[in-house]
Amino acid sequence: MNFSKISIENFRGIRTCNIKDLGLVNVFFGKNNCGKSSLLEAIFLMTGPSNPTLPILVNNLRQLVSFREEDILTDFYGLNSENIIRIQGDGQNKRDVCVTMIKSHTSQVILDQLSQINSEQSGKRYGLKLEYRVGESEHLYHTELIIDPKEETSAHAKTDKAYNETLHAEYIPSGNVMLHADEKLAQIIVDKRESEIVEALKLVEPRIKDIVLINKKIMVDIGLESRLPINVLGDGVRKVLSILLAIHSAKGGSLMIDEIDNGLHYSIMPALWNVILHSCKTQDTQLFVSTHSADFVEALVDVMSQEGLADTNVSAYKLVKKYDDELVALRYDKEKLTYAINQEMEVR
Amino acid sequence: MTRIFIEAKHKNTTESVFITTLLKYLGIEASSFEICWVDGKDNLIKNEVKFRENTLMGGRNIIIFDADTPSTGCGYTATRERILSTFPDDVIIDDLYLFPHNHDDGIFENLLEDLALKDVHSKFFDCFNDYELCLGDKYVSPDLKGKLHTYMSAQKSLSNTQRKALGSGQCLFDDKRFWNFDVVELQPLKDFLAANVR
Repeated sequence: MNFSKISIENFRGIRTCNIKDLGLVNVFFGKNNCGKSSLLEAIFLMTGPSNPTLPILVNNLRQLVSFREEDILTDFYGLNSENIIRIQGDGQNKRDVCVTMIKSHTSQVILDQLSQINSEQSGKRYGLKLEYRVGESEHLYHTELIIDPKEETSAHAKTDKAYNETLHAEYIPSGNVMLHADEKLAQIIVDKRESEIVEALKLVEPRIKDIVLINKKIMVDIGLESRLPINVLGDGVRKVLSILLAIHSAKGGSLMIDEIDNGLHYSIMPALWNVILHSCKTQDTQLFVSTHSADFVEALVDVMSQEGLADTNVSAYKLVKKYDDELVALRYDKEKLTYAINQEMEVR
Repeated sequence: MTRIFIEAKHKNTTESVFITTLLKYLGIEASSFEICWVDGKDNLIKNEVKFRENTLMGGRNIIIFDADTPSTGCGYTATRERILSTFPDDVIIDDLYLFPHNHDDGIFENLLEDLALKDVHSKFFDCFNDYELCLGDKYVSPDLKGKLHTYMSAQKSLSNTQRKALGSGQCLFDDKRFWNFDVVELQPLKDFLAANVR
């Protein structure tokens, strides 16, 4: 398991946050605007500090598709770049990441590109610097992204050649589960692991015999004369497949899914949890999901009592944003979660 | 926001309806409290997250349970000690009230009996007492919960709908023909709620 503990400082609306006792599967619920998405984004950022474009990518998830300084500032608590972002994870993939803003100060920007232009131009540039430590080593790596406002669609990235990222992480934003599903399946087929997908899919649709990719279209054999596009099996199966592909694709790494229940009918939820718990165990993928749905948490409680799944390392947290912008994660053990659901307590 | 943790299982219980009616009677805004149904003393520990969450949000947590009696293994002092030692030290219980009067043994129904109009409905209470005496020790007697339920269901002025609703705890606590909220025995609970729910 990659992370057992995570702490966040100054990321978006989160001034500070400490989460302990993380499991293989982690479920976060809480009121709207309490910081669920920010928490998942912070974890995602921590998993890939060697990629200096990741903060921009994280903004893209929120439809902030630009290199504009004011958009980049939304990463920083209070929209203030003096609040340095720090995200730390403890566990097998221990890491410590700091993100700072480089703002119009030529003396602080030491990049080859900047030395070739005049001072007037360089003074207008800005960017991000990511400094990070990985594992027990004290070595400080760093990457940078420098943006020239004149170039709206491009930026200069400088990566640290001394570091090679080994942790694979994926992020599925709210309502966008089918993102790159065909590419993920293609890789799984190349790795000859499609039978694992079929076995897991059978938990939701027992008729499925195999799954193939033809002209980027995912086709399944359900015992008819010809294969059918996966789309005809309905949204539920499609959504389960996309989550399944993401779990397999992030094998041994981390997967973040925002609002996992979005657009999902409650009847498919127990089957989805079944697939998730089985797949995360077999793939050793650490999962972080957020949800608004009490039904979804209730389905988890039901599935957790099933044979073979009771020992799955699941942690459920209610997120509470304090008045001073500390995000507190209150952990439910299995017994307390079952009770809370049975008492129809609000899990929003 | 004050979270009021009560022993009842759900909102359709006499205890829950009574507390809600009393809060309204005291003029306390519905937005200033939330009733949490614990479903028995043993489940209080499972509400740890609810306590912590409310404290983090600047709210107060209060508990209203039965004191019970030594014959059932508890009583005012023992129950109070047991409840206050339920959680780890960093979980905050702001205040605790034990039925009936927060200083003696007993249960919620003992307080309810204090509120019933025994003078106006003396015939009912006299007859019920005779009935319980007649039953002797071969049956459940005395049966305070049964007596109070029958007190209401025996009222001729109730409509069929009102009579059916008695099973959901709707005991018409705001109806002065049956209940008196001005009795001195209710003062400790009124003071407790007024001090803690705001």
